Amino acid sequence: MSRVVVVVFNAGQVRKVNAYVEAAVGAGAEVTVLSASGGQGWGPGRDLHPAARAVTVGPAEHRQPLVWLYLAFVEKGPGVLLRRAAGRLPGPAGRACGKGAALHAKAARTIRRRLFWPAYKVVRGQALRRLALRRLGDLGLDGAERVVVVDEAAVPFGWALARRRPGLDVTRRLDRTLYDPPAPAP
Amino acid sequence: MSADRPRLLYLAFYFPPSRASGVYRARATADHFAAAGWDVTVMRAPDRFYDEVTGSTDPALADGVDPAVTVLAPGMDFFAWETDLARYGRLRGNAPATARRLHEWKLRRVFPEVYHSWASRAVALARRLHRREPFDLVLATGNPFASFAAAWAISRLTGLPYIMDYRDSWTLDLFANADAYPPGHPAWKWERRVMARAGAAVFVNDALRDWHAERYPAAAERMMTVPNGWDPDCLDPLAAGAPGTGPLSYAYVGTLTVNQPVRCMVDGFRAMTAAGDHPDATLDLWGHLGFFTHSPARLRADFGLEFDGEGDVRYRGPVSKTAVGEAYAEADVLVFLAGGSKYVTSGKIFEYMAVGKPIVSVHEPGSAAEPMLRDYPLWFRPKRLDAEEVARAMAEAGDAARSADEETRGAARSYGAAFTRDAALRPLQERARELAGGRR
Repeated sequence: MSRVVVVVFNAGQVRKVNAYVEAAVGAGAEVTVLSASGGQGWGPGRDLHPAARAVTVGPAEHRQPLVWLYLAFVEKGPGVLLRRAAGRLPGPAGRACGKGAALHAKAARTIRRRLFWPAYKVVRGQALRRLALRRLGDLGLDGAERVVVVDEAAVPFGWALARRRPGLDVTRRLDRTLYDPPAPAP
Repeated sequence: MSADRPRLLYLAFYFPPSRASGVYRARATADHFAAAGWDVTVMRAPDRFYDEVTGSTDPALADGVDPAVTVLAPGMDFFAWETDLARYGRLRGNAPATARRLHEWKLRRVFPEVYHSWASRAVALARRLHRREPFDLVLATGNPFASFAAAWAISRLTGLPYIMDYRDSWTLDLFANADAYPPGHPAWKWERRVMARAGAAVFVNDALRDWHAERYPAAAERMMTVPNGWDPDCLDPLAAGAPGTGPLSYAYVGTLTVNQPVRCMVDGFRAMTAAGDHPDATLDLWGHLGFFTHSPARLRADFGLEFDGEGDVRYRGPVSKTAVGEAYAEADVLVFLAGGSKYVTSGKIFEYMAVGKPIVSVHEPGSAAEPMLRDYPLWFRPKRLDAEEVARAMAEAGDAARSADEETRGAARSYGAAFTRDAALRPLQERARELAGGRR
């Protein structure tokens, strides 16, 4: 049975990955998907195909020092404080805190979109590379036929892997046709 | 090499062993110039491009190139096609987004084609060779059109005259009959620039020449038509066989692409047999499915056809250019399948006419091939492109395959015999002599 490892760090590629997993598993291959599921920018409803063995670096992504500080002091911390104050303070002060919590939520979304993502996505590939390299043991690379790097964020990890294991086929080609039944000879 | 032979630098990205559709013209051009006394140096794409990107080679084609022709393959970067991460450089491996943006910047600012690195290296190599032993003329064929930019740059650096051979069109979308690029795209600026300096611009049919003459009136006088033709070294028309007595074989010979009315051809053929005309006939499809490695699977799905080598429609697979006579020998009627507009001429039509068998057209009326077919004695065409009309034309062509006498067939072969590559290339070679004349 052939074994394939698929690396996807961008939630926008999940549908393509799932179609690939379905084709590969249908053809008898064993697929492991290394993803950033549950990590930054990976919202709900982006579930990976259940037939694939899933390994994720998503939770670890939240624990990186700069990401953790951003989440604690910009997104979550002020919101928690304002909501708590709105519940406890009576009268106009409480109402002001409630309004402040709503304004903060709006501001946090804007800051995430306008400031955090543009800056973070530049270094996200390198950050995830470090985390992913720690999970190499879980990927079962020894028997893997190929590693498919699906998105740009996963390239630094894939490149590092290709250098560490020169014999391993690390490719950007997510090619479902590899699992098509052979065409009849003319 | 003799010192008094004019030296031609021929920039042909697709050249044997590639089997892309344009290589036959490129190969014939190099051979024709060599036979006419030129010292020819060809610059083509590196083997890796043919092996890994197009995945389409035919070593027999390279064997047929005149040994006197020097073939060089400047390198290029494979950024647009590279999928193996082990081959990524340090920048792309660590900062893929930055590397991609740099690549896109080059496409905007250097030349709007992914082949620009090949052109740059061709220019550098040409300069070195020119210093050692001067060239007299540069001939560039497109696509890719980076070869035109390379010819322009060589001309700027060395003062050499150059000719552009538009095997394909650059800024005209042949299939949509419309501009290929939006206004302001760098391709327009580049075409204006290379056209202004060119000694001649060559097109495969009059319709294309007229379109370009209208767009670049200042260069109109320097434009000429050099049609394709058939290659006598690859095809012996007399060996293509006499008509058989068994069930008729309708054949299409050539590359099948999604731009061709394949579905209409098959439907028309089946409508003909279902109506009782030549009911035992078969439709044989000879050739590659698409030009690229990944094309066949996609095309099978796009055509919605199951080619299984059995039944009435049979996919017979690729046939080497040098063995194409065998496919023609098995055919009784040739189906001329062409996609696109009045600007499209299929090079195959010249071989079709050379073998002297009935030809049935399956394309929109107004194809650039029609003026040549008009005087061919065994040409059958539908009034419009639908299954019913195609069936009628196919039935008539089948009747002609059964009933045409040797005199008619001979007249058809004689008519087709005039369209050899050499005959077509002669005016180009003469024009090249004029341009290089003052130099040697």
